[in-house]
Amino acid sequence: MPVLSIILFLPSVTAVAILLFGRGESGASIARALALLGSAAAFLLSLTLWAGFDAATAQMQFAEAFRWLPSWGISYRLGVDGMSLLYVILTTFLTPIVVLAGFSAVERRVPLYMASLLFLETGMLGAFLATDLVLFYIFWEAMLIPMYLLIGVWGGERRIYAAVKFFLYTMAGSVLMLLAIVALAYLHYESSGEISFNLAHLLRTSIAYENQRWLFGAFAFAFAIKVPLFPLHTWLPDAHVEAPTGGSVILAGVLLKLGTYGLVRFAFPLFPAAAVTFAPWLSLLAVIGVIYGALVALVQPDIKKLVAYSSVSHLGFCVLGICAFTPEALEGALYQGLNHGLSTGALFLLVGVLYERRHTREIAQFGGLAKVIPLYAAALVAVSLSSIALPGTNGFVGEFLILLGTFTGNVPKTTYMAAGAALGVILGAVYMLWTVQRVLFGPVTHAVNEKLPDLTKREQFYLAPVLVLIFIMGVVPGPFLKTFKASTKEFLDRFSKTAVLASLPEADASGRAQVSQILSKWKEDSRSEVASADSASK
Amino acid sequence: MNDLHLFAIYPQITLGLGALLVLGEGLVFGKNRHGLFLITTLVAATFSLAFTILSWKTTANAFAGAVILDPTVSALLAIVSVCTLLGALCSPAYANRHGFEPANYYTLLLFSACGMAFLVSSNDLAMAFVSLETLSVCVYALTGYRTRQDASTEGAVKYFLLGAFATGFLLYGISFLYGATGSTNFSEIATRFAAGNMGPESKFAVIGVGLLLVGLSFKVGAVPFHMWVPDVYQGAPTPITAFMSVAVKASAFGFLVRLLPHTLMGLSDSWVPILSALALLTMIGGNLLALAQRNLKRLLAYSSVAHAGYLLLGVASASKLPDQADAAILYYLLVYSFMNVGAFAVLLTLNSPARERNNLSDLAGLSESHPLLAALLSLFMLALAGIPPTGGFTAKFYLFGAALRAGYTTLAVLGILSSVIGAFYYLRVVVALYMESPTRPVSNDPAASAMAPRGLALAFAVLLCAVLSVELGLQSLPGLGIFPSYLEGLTDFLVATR
Repeated sequence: MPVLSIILFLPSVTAVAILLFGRGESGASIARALALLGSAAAFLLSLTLWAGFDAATAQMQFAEAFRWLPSWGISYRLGVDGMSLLYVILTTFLTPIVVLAGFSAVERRVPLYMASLLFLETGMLGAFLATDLVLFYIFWEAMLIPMYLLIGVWGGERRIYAAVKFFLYTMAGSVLMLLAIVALAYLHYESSGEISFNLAHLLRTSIAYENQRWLFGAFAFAFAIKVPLFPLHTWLPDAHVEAPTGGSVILAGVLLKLGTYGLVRFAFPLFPAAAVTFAPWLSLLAVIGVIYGALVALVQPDIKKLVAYSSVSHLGFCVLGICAFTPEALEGALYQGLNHGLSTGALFLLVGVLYERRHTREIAQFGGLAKVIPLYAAALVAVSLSSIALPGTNGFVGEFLILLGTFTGNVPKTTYMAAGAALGVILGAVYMLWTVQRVLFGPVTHAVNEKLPDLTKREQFYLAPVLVLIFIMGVVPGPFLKTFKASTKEFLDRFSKTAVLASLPEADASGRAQVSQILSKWKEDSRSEVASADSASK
Repeated sequence: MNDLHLFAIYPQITLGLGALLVLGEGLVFGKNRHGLFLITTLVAATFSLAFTILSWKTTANAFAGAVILDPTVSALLAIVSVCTLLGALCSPAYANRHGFEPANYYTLLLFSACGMAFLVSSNDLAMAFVSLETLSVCVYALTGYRTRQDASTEGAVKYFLLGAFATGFLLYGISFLYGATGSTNFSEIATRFAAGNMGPESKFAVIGVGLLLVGLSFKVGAVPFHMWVPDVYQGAPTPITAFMSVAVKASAFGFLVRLLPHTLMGLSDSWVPILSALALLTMIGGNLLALAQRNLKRLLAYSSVAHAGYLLLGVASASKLPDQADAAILYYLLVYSFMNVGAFAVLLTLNSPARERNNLSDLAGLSESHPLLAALLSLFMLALAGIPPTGGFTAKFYLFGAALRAGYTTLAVLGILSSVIGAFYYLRVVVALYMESPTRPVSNDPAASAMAPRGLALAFAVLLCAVLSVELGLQSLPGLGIFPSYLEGLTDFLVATR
């Protein structure tokens, strides 16, 4: 049974049904019901993937393939491995929650809203599942349209500006990636005589150092915009602030993860020699992002903008983890991606709850809410603790692994990077706790806040799973981390010194010389002692 | 070589006979039998398409080598026939509303199509020139068909004057080429230069090529010869704008491809740099100029300039990789026909006798009153912007792929970045449709009550364009059947013919 295709297109089919049947008086309720049904079904189906997943292998599982445009070597090719499994589930998990949150938040043009959400889900899942580069690109780019509509139609005051900025930023990066994809296919054709966009085949191509640098640059640029990596992050605060709650949750929860996912799935493994060249620079940008994001978040008067900048900071951790080339750091980065999806998603949901009641997001408008709406306060405190990585929450596991892995990494100057990022952890605690204190504690400063209703049953219902997961993933990370193991090992095997040099063609002598000079600055491989530290940390 | 091979020009004959038939019908049955003329036009275009398909993979040299038939010509003939069909389908509602005299209208349409068909299949400079003039004169007349509108007359006069000017350049260039080679036949000119024996006369040929390029740049609307495009597109009756934006472009590019990469390959050192510069200017200029437009017809005019730029890049690539780049250009022209005509056709459905609704502000909030039309127009805009999974994406993918392969990396990067600017103004339309509220309440607009469906023909055209814009993007569906099998032979641009 083509289970991946079913999960992938179930949301789209539901969306089409919504557009067809969600008309007239009862259109909104039909749309809501169908959207919930379709997205929940996709979630349940995606759980069967985890149940049937074999964590021992790095192979693509549940793989599907058929020839699509044979003369171009483009095929419809899906698969899931340790890198993508949990992200697929994260996507299908967050979508029904966002649908539920949209029941009250969205009153205008409900069918179109729900349909956009579901089309977006297909786009995101497709990008995670595709193992053919053209197919990946199609989903990656097609995803922009529903997100653009979500921001532009249901967003705040400057929604059109934010929507167009989001679209153009992402597109500028991705068209260059498209050229790089085509160029990569040519290089593959020239060396092998086979025309293919299949990732597994392209991974076997050896590409000259010079070309690797250009192609890696194009791929990394596209993904760095999506992450977003400092200084390409300026679209993010606008998009987040103007997007409706559901849009923000999906944007932070899943879309940004596609950036880091793209790095580990495509940019790094395809061009190992270029990746080791640029990784120190990427980690430098990541650390700047960690600190810069935290500092800017610190001074935001608007809670949503604060959360948006905190995303820049958190995603910096993920990129740092990827660039360290150690198993802990990489697993931590993948894990932190999930954590950020949950905790920042939940933060946006909670901000949305407050906004629905007061129609403002200014921190100064609140204060002392803990007395008025205790359930809400409890939820916000729990999520904030996860966001600042308190031990016992999921955030701790991720950030700890990243910092540990970066400290023990082989890349030169990596300890400084880890130290810088650790500073970001402290700053993170400062802005988050300070915000919680200003919003929840102290006296009730505004009379309007005294009558605020607490979380409704529906809100409790969709927040509860996220909160529960935050603590489960904090206390027993084992089952989650286990799924990454085989794939991270395969990834890192491509970055041993010999493997990196082997990725360059024999003829490219000057490239080999340059790369081996870069690699000579790396510390000797301490993989074995790291592995023991790894097991001790759990 | 000297055989007549009449079958090679069956499509052209059909189109010409159709035009004469419409004229005759007008004499016999009176000038206002609109339905009859329309059906005659559609039948003529359909038969022309059918003849093209019947002789799909045939190669022939007819009329002493003046006319050629090969797969590239067949594809161009098919595109011209399809554009004629679409143009005719878009016409009746508009023509009725503006009181056009139908007999002459359809006659001119078919004659211009006949000229295009001859142009794409001509293998001789004189032949090409005559066909180009046939089509141009008909299109000038059609542009000025809204005689009561100043804009239409202005557009027609501008088009005619600048067109005549360009024709002068063209003819002058042809005479230089003839002087340098002693022949007007493409095959003979090609062999003359292919041998690499560049005598002093090749200097004359280079001048000739330069003059030809100027003339043809006018015809395809390349920057800096694009000034007439927005005024003509805006002034012309919308169905004619739709028709000429795709058909004239297709035939002119067909001629350009036949002339430059195939005939004058030997001189490629002289024309490739000019063509690359033109392509770059056109891609960037067209996209930048479109940014400021508030009238959708003008916006699409500048967008067509930008698309001409992408196609010029394709022609430049054809100097290195003739087969692959040709296929990419043909594919682009086909997809462009559907997405562009589709966009104009949606505009046509919004028109009313009282007012043409061509401004962006007229589209505000359309998605609430006319969700289907808004969705279709958005589809065409996204296709023009090259967003997957539409045909616009696939076409750009092939075209820029060919450019990369031919080694024009910088041009390809700049071109694709300029297409990001392009996305901005296409998105402006989607913004208006979905994110802005109507400037005036739709119910108070006298035009709104008349915004009923504009006849079956137009609806059919819109749907056909929509289906094909998507189908050409997905391509896996058996759907069209003709093009994919044909493309198998040609679009294998990756499987290089070394």
